[in-house]
This record gives sequence, C-alpha cells and structure tokens, in this order.
Amino acid sequence: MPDSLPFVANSTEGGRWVRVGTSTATSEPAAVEEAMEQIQAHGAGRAKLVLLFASPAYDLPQLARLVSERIGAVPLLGCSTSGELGGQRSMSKGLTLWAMGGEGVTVATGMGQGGAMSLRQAATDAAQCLDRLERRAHTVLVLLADGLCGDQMEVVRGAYDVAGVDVPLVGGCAGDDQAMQFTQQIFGTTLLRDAVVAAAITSDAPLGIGVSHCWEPLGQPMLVTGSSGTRVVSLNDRPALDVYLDAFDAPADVRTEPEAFSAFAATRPLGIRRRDRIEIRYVSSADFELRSLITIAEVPQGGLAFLMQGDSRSVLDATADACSMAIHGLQGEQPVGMLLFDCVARRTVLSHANIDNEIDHITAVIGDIPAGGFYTYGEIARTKGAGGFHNQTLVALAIA
Amino acid sequence: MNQVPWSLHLFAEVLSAFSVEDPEALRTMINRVAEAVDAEVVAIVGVHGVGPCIGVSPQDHAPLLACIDQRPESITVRAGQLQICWAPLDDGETLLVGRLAETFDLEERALVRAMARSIELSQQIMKAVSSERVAREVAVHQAIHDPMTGLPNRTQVLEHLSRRLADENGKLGQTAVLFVDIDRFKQINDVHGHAVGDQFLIEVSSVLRNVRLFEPVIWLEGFPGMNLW
Repeated sequence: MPDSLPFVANSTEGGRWVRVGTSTATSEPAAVEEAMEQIQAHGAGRAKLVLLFASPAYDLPQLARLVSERIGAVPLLGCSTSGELGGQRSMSKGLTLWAMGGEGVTVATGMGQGGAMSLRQAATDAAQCLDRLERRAHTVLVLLADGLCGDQMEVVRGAYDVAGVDVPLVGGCAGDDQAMQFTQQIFGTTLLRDAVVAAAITSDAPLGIGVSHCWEPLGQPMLVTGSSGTRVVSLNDRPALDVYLDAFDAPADVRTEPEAFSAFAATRPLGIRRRDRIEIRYVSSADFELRSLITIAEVPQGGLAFLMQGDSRSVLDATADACSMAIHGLQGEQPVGMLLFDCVARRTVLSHANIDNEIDHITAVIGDIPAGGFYTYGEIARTKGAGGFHNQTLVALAIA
Repeated sequence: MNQVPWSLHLFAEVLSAFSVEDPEALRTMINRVAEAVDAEVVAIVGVHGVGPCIGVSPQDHAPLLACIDQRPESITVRAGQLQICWAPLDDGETLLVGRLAETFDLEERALVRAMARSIELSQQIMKAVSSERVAREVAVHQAIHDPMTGLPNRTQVLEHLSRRLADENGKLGQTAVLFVDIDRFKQINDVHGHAVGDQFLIEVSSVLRNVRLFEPVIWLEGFPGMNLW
C-alpha cells in the first residue's frame, strides 16, 4: 500500500476545500495514480469524502480498491458513468475523483439495495445516513442511483421520506457508457447493482444547488391518457409511440429499428407539467409492438405531457443557468468547488465537436474553482416541493 | 408556460392519484398530491395522530398534531413557515397539505379538496377489495376444512391423496395412510355430553396436528384423524 495515509490534499485556511483529479489512462493503477497526484498536488488537509466516477471500461472493483488504499478511512462512494467531467475537460472512458475536506464540514455515508419493486426502500435505507449526522447550518444529501432499475421517482420519494423538507437532495444515476445494460454503484470497495449510495454533507457554510434544462415544448401539451410506471401507453387517446413519431416527423429507420429510435429520442424528451416548471423525462426506448414509449421515470397518467425539443444553444444556456443558480445559492460566500450531474443526452446534443463549449460555459461562471462530476442517466435535484427527478438536465452543487 | 389552465392540470393529477394500484398506494398517493401542487408536506392527520406523512419526520409531528382543532392557515416547522391547506377525509381524518412560503390560492384549495375526495374513494375501493379478498379466503378455507376441529375435510383429503399418489408416480410403497380411531369415544358423549365430546376431539386434533411426523393431519367424519407420511 502506498505511504500516503492519511489522505491529504490542498487546504483552504479555516474553511472547506474541494479537489478534482482526472485521468484517461487505460490501466487502473496509472489512472488512479494520475488522478490522485492532481488532488494531492498542493498543501495538506484531511479529506472527508471522496467520490469516484469512472467508465465501466475500467475494472471498477480494482479501481475502488486502489483508491481506497490511497485514501484509507476516508469514505468512498461512486458509480459507473457514461462520460466524466473534471479538470476543465469532458472525457470518455476516463475517471474523475472528487474530494472534499477541511474545517466546518462533516459527512456520513449510507447505501441501500433492492430491485425495481423496492427502490424506494433502498433509497430510504441509503438516506438513513442523515440520522447519524450531527447537523450543521447547511445540509444536503447526495445520491448516486442505478438509473436502469425501475422508476427513478421512487429514489427521490424514498430519500425524501428520511430527508424531509429540511434537507435538499442532489445526485445522479449511474451510466454504462450508453450500453444501457447495467450500471454499478461504489460503496467503499464494494461494487453494487440495483442500489442507491448516499453521502450526507453538512457544513457551516451555505451549499448552493442549481438545476436547469432549457428544453422548449414543441406544440401544445397532451393529456397522458394511458401510462403505467415507466411505460407511456397513450397520449390524447392515441398510441404514444405514433403520436411521438408523427409529431417529430421521424425518418423510416427510427420507426422500426430500436437503436435508431434510441439515438433519435436522446434529443427529443418528454416534459411533464409541474406547477411552475416542466420536468424532463428521457425516452429510453420504444415498444414497437405495443406502440408505447419507455421512460426512465414515471410519466403520471392523467397529467400533462409535452414533446420537447432543444439544440446545442439551449444545452449551453442550461449549463450557464444551473451553475449560476448554484453559485447564487451560496448567499455571497465564495465557492470552493462544484459537483456536477450532467445528463448524457445533453452531451449527445452538443456532439463531439462542441463538447468543449460546455466546459467553457461552466468555466465562464465558476472560474477556476475545482469542478467535477459525470454524465448521468438521470438527475436528482429537490430543493422545493417533494419531487425532483429530472432527465436531460444539469444539476450543480456548489460548496462554499 | 402554455395555454392550458393550471386547474386542468391539477384535475388531471386527481385522476392520476385515483388510478394508483400498488401495495404502497396510500403513501404513493400522498406523494402525488405533493408533486402535483409542489407541496413539501402532506399528511393524513386525525384524533389518533399523524398517519401517512411525507416531508416531516415522526419526531417533528408535534406541530402538526397541535393544530388539528384550530386548522390554522400556516404553521412553523424547522424549515420555515408552512402554508397549510386542509381537506376533510372519512372517519374524522384530514388531509393536510403544506407548502413553504407560497400560499394556496382558491383554485388550489378547491382542487386539493377534490384530491382528498379522490383519496377517500381510493381508500374505500381498496377496503372493499381487501374485504372481498378476505371473504373469499375465508370461504375457500371453510369449504375444505372441518368447522369444529379446523382440520382439512374429506374434500381436501381426497384431493391430497390423489395428488400425493400422482407425485409418487405409481410408487405406492412410499405413501402410507394411518387411520386413528378413538376407542370408547361414544362413552364420553354419553356420560359427559356432546359439548365435552366435541372439546375432546378438538384437543385430540390439536395433539395430532402438533406431531410433525404425522403431517398433514386430516379430518374424516367418523374418524378422528388420518395421516399421510
């Protein structure tokens, strides 16, 4: 084991700090070494929490073990991804380490595991870590969930059962490099599926949360006349798939080929009406036989749904919005770091050629403070009301 | 945001709440109410305390309980001032919907009442479905058990024997039937009366049922018990 215990990183005098390390090295030891070097490059200070976001192209158990060896008793959480953010770059098949420490901040971690039918309980179990925390002035619960396991609204509901109105929720759903097969969650050196892992962070300083999507409705809303869980059966009493394909004037291959449909739908989500906003629902696939749409989270029957559209401009506007909102939430305190949950479909909209524009927009708002995160299969941000599951959205958590 | 009135959306959510059919139906419904009106707290409160509740942990229920009688328009919880909308439910219970900062307008209040009515109807349907299920289970049990001893009756013994023999695939040597008879049982009836005789049979049945080697014990009229092993 390397002689780097206790895990230390740069310290901001008398306050909290965030450090981010990244790597796209293909070997696990080299990737961990490179990322850890960036985190530990300056000064000293004991970390309170380390988050590991890594492509499933890596041997994730080995990565978790290597990182754990380096950080010792510091809590480690993380998940598999569909791309990573950090070090002022957007990566594929890489890893990001996000570390936080310093004075006036405390962390407790938890996990829960269950299949699609017990997702709410899994989230409740993970959120119980809040009960072990002696709360300071500002608290947030960070959740990393399996986005391919059941209705993700249940994760928010289960966590809210414990967090209640007092504690906002942020987080994201693990990815698998868009294979859409299975994802993994990291709790210490344990790799989990169908799980929710959580970190309760409580701080003397404000914690700011930003959330924005900037998608625009295409036409009038429709009544969800038939839906069950994550299956949308009918819109305005017509088969949902037919309504969707016709409204977007989908080409022939999208109407028959699952892969073509998924690629097409990545930039054409549904929106569900909330009191003062529209929440986005990612359309993950279609059932060509039953003519229905499959989503990542519930589209309530009886509610109103929009077909949504966006382009690279709206994605970049949302990036700036979310980051500004998070910084604004710090109530004038100086940010020391940011945690980002960025929907993988937003990256698809930007395409490879424009992906750096998103980083530029983040940097334009937050400057050179350390920021890191990953591309998700769903985002969590509950700051008001009791709901807060999103798709194709950027969620930012600013630390002061 | 669009041309559709907000009230239409809320009314649609009422229908949505009504359509829930899962084991956690009531809790899911109160989540739906909260999500529909952007409320942080939803609870069913009554004289017996706080029932299903989201947004406030059990240790913080005191402010909710303290205001049941007066039903104020706002109460203070740790997170701040909670604007409250009340709607009556069955059995003296009340649906409490609380939102931080923003008051409920008249339209929202009317529609929260509609949601409460939807919850009432859902609860009534769920109760009816549950009662019907229990009644059916009782009827099935009664049809295949002896009412006095509670042991399986002739119908069940014949079905059980047929299945058992079929399972043995013709290997009759592996299944045996034991008939247990009680000598001089008639004397018990004659000397102590049929009530005591019945009690005696119930006790014997209970003893046989507890002998695991002899499971299952089956009641045959005219025989105290028959066992397969």
